Amino acid sequence: MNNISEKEFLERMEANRGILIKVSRLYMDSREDQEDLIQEIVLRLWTNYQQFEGKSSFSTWMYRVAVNTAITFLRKEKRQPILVTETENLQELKADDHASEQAQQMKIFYKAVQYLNSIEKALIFYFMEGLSHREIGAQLGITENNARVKLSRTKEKLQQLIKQLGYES
Amino acid sequence: MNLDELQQAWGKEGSDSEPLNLVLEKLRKAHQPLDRIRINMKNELFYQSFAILIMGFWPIYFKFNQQFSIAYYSIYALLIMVSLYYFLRFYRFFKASHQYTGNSKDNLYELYYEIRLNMEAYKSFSFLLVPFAMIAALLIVFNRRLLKYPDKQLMEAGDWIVIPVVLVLMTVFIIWATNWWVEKYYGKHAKQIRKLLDELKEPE
Repeated sequence: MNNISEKEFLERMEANRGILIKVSRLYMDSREDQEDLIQEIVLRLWTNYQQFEGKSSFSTWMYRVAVNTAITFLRKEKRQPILVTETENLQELKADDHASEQAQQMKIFYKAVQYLNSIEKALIFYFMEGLSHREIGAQLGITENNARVKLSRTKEKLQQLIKQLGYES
Repeated sequence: MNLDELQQAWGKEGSDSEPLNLVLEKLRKAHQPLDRIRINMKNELFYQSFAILIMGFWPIYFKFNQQFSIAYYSIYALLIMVSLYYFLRFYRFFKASHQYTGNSKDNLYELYYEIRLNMEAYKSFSFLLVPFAMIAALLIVFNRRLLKYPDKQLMEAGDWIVIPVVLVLMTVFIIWATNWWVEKYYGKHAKQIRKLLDELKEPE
């Protein structure tokens, strides 16, 4: 692959870095793992870039590669997931006066999402990106109805997790 | 917390972050099940090929006579041919790059079958070494006897029971150990992917 396409590819990565950051935050809870995951996704995107024919939009294609990579991503073995099991960490988040209400909600959202499995995370990611049930089904390879049922259950589970973490409003 | 309302904040996520400043040459991959399996298999195959190479010197080390050496190298040639076939097969597996562009279900199925297929190939390669190891062990034992008691018969009365029993026990042990090893180090990835596939099944 020549330098021009490499440059073009990297520019596209920068322009779409929001997707990379969101997927990495959804799937990994530590900064190091998030960085590793971003690197992994970019590498997979790069190795598959020649096959991108523009039949779908670049972001749709990027979603697939990013989510497929994240679903089977293995964190470094010595690193352990940092999950909050008690409400104390959440109290710290709540006590952070500098963060806006929405920023706090996002932090709590990310904490709660860490308790979901890889497929549930994919469902939430696509939902948050505004994809329809049909589009979610197409991305995951399941029927529209299956996507609807699974998304509904996952959203319910996520709400429960958020409550268990102590967030009530 | 209303997830629908949170979508607005979600849309802004990452937009104010620092540029990634990616340099493709510096990116490393070793976080996918296939990558881990490839790395482990490569290491193990390196040691196995080294062991096969060393086995080529056994007739010299154990001072085989001419007849024993001919018998040994005949089966050793077969071992080399079979090993070459498998090494070529694994080489293709190491070189192939997996596509992540399909939908998640197809992608997981492809990964699952690729892992299972290579696990089975790895097992069958290990099982193929068993008869060779048995014949080599017998030749070593008989050669020792021949050197020690050149006038005696090679097979003693008790051998007709002891040898088959030892061979059967060794075979059972090697099959069990290979299965245990492959399932422990490679099977866990296949199981995790199977679990993910089950998550995608239609609700009942």
